[in-house]
Amino acid sequence: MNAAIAALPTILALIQVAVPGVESLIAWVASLRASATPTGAWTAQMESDFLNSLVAMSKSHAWTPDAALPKA
Amino acid sequence: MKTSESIHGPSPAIYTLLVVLMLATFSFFFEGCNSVAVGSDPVVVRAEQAESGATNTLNLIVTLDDANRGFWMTNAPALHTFAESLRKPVQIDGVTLPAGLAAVRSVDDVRVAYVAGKATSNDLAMAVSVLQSLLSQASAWSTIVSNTPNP
Repeated sequence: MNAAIAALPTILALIQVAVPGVESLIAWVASLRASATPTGAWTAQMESDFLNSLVAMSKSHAWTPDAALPKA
Repeated sequence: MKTSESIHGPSPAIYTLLVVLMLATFSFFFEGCNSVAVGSDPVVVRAEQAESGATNTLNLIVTLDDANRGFWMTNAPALHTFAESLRKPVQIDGVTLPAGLAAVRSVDDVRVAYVAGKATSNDLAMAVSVLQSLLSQASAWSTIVSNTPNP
């Protein structure tokens, strides 16, 4: 568990830039979150970082609605 | 009149076929056992599988649509509308996320609550079934899109 948590910042950074295969990284973090939350190993800071990485990923071109795209 | 099979019994090819069929059957059962590891809660495992599958498929749909939005808007407007519905911003956990990611996130929230003993298995099963229906729709679209010639 500790090793997984130590790797978390790197994984979240990769999610932010939406690297190929980002879905697997999100699934991995979600799984870690579910198992670490009951033990208290999942901190509020980790939760915030995870949410922020999802928000950053959602700002990628693919997830941007038509209305929010810059007009050509 | 006796055939060679009635004299010598079944040919070796039949035995080989039987062995292959038995191995295939065993591997099927072992694969079935592997999907839920011993000690794992099946409801949680199903939720994890749904979340992972949904994230994959929803990301695939928006990425495919994004690759040529103009083409899909003209030639498969329903697909583009579906992709846009996944991109629609919604509020969840105090942040704004696209509806597709928010759907996965909400199941994850219920899963965390269930693992922590703050939600029932029915709550989680219900959340997963909603996500599964979205996933089914997205899977159908991904099949259609994959088989549609596009520039």
